[in-house]
Amino acid sequence: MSLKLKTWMPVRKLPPGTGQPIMPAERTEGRGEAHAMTGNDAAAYALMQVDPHVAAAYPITPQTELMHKFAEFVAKGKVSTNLVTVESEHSAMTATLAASAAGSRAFTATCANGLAYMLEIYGNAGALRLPVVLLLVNRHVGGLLNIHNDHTDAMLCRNAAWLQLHGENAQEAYDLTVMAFRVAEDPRVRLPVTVCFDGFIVSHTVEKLRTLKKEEVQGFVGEFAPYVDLLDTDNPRAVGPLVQPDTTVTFYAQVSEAMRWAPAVFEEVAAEYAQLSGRQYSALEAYRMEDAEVAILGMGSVCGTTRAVVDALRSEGVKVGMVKLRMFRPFPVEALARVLTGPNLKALCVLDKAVELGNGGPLFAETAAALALQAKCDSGRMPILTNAIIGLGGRDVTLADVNGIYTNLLNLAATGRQPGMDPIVYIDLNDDGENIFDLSASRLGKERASSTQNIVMMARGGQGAKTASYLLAQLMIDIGKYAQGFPTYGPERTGAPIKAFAKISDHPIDDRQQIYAPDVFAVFDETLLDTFQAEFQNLAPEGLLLVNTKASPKEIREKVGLVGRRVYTVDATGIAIAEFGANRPNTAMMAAMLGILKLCDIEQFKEAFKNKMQRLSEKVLQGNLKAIDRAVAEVQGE
Amino acid sequence: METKDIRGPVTRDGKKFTPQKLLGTRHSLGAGHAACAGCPGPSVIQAALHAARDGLGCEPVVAFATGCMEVVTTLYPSNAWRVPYMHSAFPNSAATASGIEAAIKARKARGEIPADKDIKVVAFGGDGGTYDIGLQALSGAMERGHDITYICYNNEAYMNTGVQRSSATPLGAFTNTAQVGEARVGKSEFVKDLTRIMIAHDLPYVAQASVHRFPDMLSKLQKAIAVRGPSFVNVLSTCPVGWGMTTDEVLTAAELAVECNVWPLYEFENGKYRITYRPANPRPLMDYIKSQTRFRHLLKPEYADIVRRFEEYIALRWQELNDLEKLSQPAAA
Ligand SMILES: Cc1ncc(C[n+]2csc(CCOP(=O)(O)OP(=O)(O)O)c2C)c(N)n1
Repeated sequence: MSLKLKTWMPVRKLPPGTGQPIMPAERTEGRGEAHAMTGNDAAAYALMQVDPHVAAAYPITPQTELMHKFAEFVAKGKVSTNLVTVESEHSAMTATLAASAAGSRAFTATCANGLAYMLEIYGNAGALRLPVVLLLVNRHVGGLLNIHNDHTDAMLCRNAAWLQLHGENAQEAYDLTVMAFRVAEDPRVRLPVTVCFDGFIVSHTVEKLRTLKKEEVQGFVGEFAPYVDLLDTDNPRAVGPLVQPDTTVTFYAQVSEAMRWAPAVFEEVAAEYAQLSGRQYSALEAYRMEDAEVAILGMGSVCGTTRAVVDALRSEGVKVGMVKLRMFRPFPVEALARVLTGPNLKALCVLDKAVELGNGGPLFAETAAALALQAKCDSGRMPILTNAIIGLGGRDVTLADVNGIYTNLLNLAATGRQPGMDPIVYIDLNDDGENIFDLSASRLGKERASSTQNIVMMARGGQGAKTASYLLAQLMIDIGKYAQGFPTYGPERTGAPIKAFAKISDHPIDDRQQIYAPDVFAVFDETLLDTFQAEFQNLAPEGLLLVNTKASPKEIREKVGLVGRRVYTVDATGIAIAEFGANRPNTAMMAAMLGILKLCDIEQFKEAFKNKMQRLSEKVLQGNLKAIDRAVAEVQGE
Repeated sequence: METKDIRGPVTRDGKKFTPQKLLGTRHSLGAGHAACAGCPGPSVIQAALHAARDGLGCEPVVAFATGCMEVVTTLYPSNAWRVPYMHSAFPNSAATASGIEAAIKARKARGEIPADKDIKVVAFGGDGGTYDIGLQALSGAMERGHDITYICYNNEAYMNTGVQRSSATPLGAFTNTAQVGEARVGKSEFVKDLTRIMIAHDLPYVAQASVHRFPDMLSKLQKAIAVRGPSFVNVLSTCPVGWGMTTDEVLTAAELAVECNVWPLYEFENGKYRITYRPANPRPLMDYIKSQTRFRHLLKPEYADIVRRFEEYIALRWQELNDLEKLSQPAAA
């Protein structure tokens, strides 16, 4: 008896040489108006410019601000989108699909538990070939409630007929959102697209990006051309049939073929987008891989932190590289295998922000499978493979973590031995000071140190430290620098201790870690001196401690036991209460900081403050402006 | 016409429970939870559990929906609960309660726990977890007639996630997903009257209460928990952050909601409506609107139409409620 193998649908040939693009990562900002925005705001801005017919969404942290921004555009009449504020994610996805089937361009946004709740309908989108866009602001989902970032949600939905793209930063959140509609709606693809970016780390960090004009975006995405339209009542179509065993495979074979086309279409769309924006995108980016002996593969914001370490190590002559996967679905098997089986590469670590408990991460498993196939088919080469489970549940991914991984890879490369069948490590908290990896110790770091300021603000929820970090980053970006501003997030309510961070530099800032050894500690609330006492010792050698207090710098120095460095004090609360009658010390604290560091002219700060704080009443605004002058004049230091 | 009790009341015996008696009783929710200053949510929980334990002598087991009160009471590794508690997700507090209650019955039937051990399942949810995403589970649990009391602490928006509209958000209020601008007026729909929907489930006991009238709230919570069957209490629980007011205005705003007839205090007990507090001189709606910044824009003349519709709505509902109460009275001989 012979076994008859039936092929699926005949698969049409893809255009030769396309569909599996790899691009050497170049750093170009491209064209367009410069902004300082969070990832959430950047995605909302792109959606405003696309101006889809319908959006249906439900709130969930950290996606919420994206929808707040979009709802603001709706309220101000900046979009004509019909925003449906549904009662659950199940309805969010359903309404989005239904609107699409009724001939509309539509999107939704969610993450984590929200995605899990819409998962039933998520599958329908792909199978029904409805080209909607989902913004997935990645957050942990699993057995534990945790609002922080990882990729467990993206991995939860990896087996559906959706494209899945991962953006590294706010710029990519913007660009990929615009491109997603084009790729989804292309007649060769006609599949929904999930655009991922990391919750908090990207969604809540103010940084620099460039945007197109609304007309350009409108021209780029073009008119929506529905291929099913429930409103075409002369040609009634039934969407969502019951399928039988004999047709099920046919359906999925068609979807599978469309998935095969997706990388080629993405490449085409990206090329057109590059013409418009000057920014190049590909499914996969190879960074300093030409002669790399060890490499890291990752997705999303970890790639920024990894790139910063690659640059530092390269400046010391160490041959390290990085591969950034932008398109996780469809999984670019060939391109990945090509770039990771080069003759120089000896060891590779795959970073996974998700885990299949008991096994490794999904990205690792798929990469290993791709490499094994490639080795068998073609080169016969295969690097040593390891897997690091990193950043799970929002655990900060530090430069030190990444550096540690490279060190480990270099050791493995030297021995040439694969560390067993189970080469998986969990990178967990190390609060014994190992978080500190001194970038400035490298040659490159030394060059850049003088133009870099890393600031940690310590405050109580409600005192305005988050606003201060945002405002500072915006102001610095406005005057032509690079910056990141971001707070720590937790479920704490008003009054709980929080931190906010600002990184400022003349050079683009890649790394995404929190700041452990800053140039400035700014303490907004004197009662926090005890809470954070242990951390002050990590202040950089020339660093400064600025405290909101009536006490003198000398008294504070004694209290915290700081040797060397500089200590400054200002009565920011006193000033705030006197000038505008509220315990919001943030304006005076920022002014004191800017005054000491001379990061910009104080008049520039006042201008920026006026622009950003338009919601304040005239009286409060004037009070704040006076507080700025007073803080600059009254801060004292030693 | 006379309304009839078709279910028949089956209740736990309870002593009359006054707020004074709260002093010196066991705390079911420990101090040190992380709620915002001024948040009245913990008092609703505290009152319900006091009513169960000290008023009725039963042992409450709590089911909770994701939301502010869930987050602030169980921030791992802390736990503010001194009674058994379970949370798994946002939409399913009533289903959690159903499962626990089913287990009580099953284990009593097998003699694994004493048949006379009086355990009462008390489910909680915010308005988002109750009016919106949890409505299906709630309706199912109530229809199946489990011995569950469901308490909605209603702060009229999704507060945990940073103030988004829910179907309990009043007309005209600003929330982050229903903002105010040239093209929008804040929330453009009326509230959904969930209490009426619960009454339509023909429950033995349904009530509306407010945090500022503590004795009234306490007695309703106790009556609800006393029922051996499904019951529902909707408690107005103000939020300084989401409503836009200072912590010392929290109870005043709730009081204004009642005094302006925006939030009538009433109960539906065994088929009969009873208004439990009737404002002597109802205050104009504007007093309520002025008390919170979420309505700030409504003070401008261009929003007069929204205010007028709001007034009409509450007048209609108030009238209807009074009519229903009248219908509930035994016909004069
Ligand atoms: C399926 C799902 N969707 C969304 C969320 C995010 N979420 C958590 S709490 C919450 C709002 C809670 O609002 P409400 O029930 O009114 O309670 P409150 O926080 O106001 O007390 C939301 C949207 C979630 N946890 N699960």
